[in-house]
Formats: sequence, C-alpha cells, structure tokens
Amino acid sequence: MRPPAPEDDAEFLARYVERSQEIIRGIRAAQVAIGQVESRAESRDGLVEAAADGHGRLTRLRIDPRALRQGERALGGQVAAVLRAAQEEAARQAQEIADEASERAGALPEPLDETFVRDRVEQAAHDLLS
Amino acid sequence: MYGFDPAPGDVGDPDAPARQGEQLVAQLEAAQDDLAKIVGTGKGPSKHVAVSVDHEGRVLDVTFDARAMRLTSRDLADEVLAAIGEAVTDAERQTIEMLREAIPGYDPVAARAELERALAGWA
Repeated sequence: MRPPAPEDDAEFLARYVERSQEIIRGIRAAQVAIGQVESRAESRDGLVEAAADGHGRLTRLRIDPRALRQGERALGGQVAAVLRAAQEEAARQAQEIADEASERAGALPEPLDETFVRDRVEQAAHDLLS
Repeated sequence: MYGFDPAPGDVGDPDAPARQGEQLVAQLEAAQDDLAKIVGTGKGPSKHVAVSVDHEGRVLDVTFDARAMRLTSRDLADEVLAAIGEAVTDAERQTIEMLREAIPGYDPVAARAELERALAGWA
C-alpha cells in the first residue's frame, strides 16, 4: 500500500483499517489453532504416554501397569521425560502457528508519519495561496 | 492502559506511552533472569507424588515415593496430572508477584485481560 494522493485519503484509510482487521482476525484464528494443538509423546518402550495442548498444558497421561515394575525413581524420570517431550512438541507446533501469524502481520504497511501530515499541510497551503 | 496506571504527570503527555513502553521492555529484560529461576511445586492428593515446573509450566521433575507405587497405574497418572496443576498454579502466582515487584505500576493480569478485550473488539 503506497501513501495516498490527497483525493484518495478516505479510501486509503478504509483499506488500511480493513487490512488491520484482517490481521487481527488472523491473530485470533491463530489463537484458536494453538488451542486446538494436541501433541503426543511416549516412552521408547511405549509404557508411558502423554499429550499436551498448544499452551503447554498437559491434557493426558497414561501409565501402563508394567511401567511400575522399574521402581519409583526410574519411573519418575521416565514420566518427566515423556511429559516434557509432549510439551516441547506442542510448543514447536504453537510456535509455527504464531510465526505464520506474525509473518502475515508484518505485511501491514508502515503507519503514516509526520512527513505525511507535513506534506498535507504544505499541499493545503499551496492550494490556498496559489 | 495494558496493565499500567499512568503516572499523574503523564496524563496529557503524548510521548508518555512510548516512553512507558521502552521502560517496560527494559524492565522485562532485567526480570528475565529472575523469571528463569522460578520453580513451581505441587503434590497429588495422596501426597505421594511431587512435581516441579518452570515459570512457563514446563515439567522439570516428577518424584514418586515408595507408597506411590502401591497406587494403580491409572490413579498414579491422575495424581501426576493433579500435582502438575498445583505446580503450574504455584509458578503462575510467583511469576505474577515477581512481575508486579519488578515493574512498578504494571499488573500482568490486567494487561492480558485488556489485550484480549482489544483483540475481541477489533475483528
């Protein structure tokens, strides 16, 4: 989007607002998509399995009765590792969604700054005085 | 705005929000080290399962005592999830307290609520 000519100010502003709204809708869609992420992880022997959502919240943990045979210390380490793996994978997926949304947000043109106002004032003075 | 109460002298000052933003970024960067040290802890209802998490809720450690191994595997899994919930709540509480202390006038809970409202009102 190029800075507008004076006669196109209203249309430029309308398009700018419309694109901003599209971007905000994109951010909200990304929030929903992150909420729907479900990432699973399991131990190498398949006896411990966990799932996490896109916010890193752990939503499920399954421990097979056979996993208890390894004793409390080893089981604690195994459960922690599987929970972390589920969270890390969920974080990776959520980051991917957030990066895509940020990329789209970066497409918004720079806001009009003081040079735009100065140009308009100079233009108005020129029109009045010419 | 966004979790801040403007200082009395800032009302009507057009540069105040930008200045406040820069200050917030600097204070947040300074707070990073303290945030990284936060450890939330929680226990399952039986008290035989303990979990610790970092300030983002990532699991650091899961500890079972010998009695925990007498639980069924399903109950044990439920105990772990309950302990995580408690640990995450503890880490969130510490994070909010830390940010409130590190950044005077900033309320992270109010900031998030305002951001959510702004997003909802725009699209």
